[in-house]
Amino acid sequence: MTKRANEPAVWFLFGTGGFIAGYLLPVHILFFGILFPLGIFTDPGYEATLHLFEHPLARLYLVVLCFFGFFHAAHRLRLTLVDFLRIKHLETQLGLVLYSLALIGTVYAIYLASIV
Amino acid sequence: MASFPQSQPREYRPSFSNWWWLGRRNYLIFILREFSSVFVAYFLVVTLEQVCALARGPEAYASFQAHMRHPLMILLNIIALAFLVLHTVTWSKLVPKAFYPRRHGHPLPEMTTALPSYILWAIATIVVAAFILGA
Repeated sequence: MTKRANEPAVWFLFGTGGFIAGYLLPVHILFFGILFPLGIFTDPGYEATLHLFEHPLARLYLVVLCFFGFFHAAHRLRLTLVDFLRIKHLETQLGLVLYSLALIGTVYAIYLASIV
Repeated sequence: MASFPQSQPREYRPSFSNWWWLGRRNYLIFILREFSSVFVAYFLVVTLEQVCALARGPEAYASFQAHMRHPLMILLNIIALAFLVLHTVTWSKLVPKAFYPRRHGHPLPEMTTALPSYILWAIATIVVAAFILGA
């Protein structure tokens, strides 16, 4: 039972991350990854996009999106890879690698949010 | 008195193929749904790359835009969007189910439990799109 003690906290992060990434990322991909590159919508350009990211709330948005999104992906990928590759015995090491990557991504997002 | 050969009890290990996820359509959809998390991480990295380019100046941002116009990047992003939509739809169906009370012992229809999540998704999409386009 002691092993399950942190599960609700992990699930809260995981569940919330699933919604945050799920609500916000599709529209990001749609515009910055497809519609602007194809020229279907006019890209607002460097000045306007920089101005958008300079707002304190936009910086906070970036950090929140990256923190929840990266940890959601890391947790889900850990669970999936263990089943997919049948590597239950490597779950701890796999988790360590994936959560470390999520942490690096989040720290990088905080750094970028502070300099942009 | 008859004697029987002693055999050591061994752990039962059911055998199944490494390709178990191709065995049934449901398994395949499960694996595709779970691997949508790869595309979540992928586009977060692209977004960080974009902000990094913004921080470095107009030339860096122009090269980021040129990189995004590459046909293979556009193709990858279309695939990523498809996986992201799969993620949001399945997540909206799955998670609220755990919180809704059952009526007369029956679970509420999936469309009812998922609807608030779809509405929030639509609002978030419109708000973010307004910021991106109005930038």
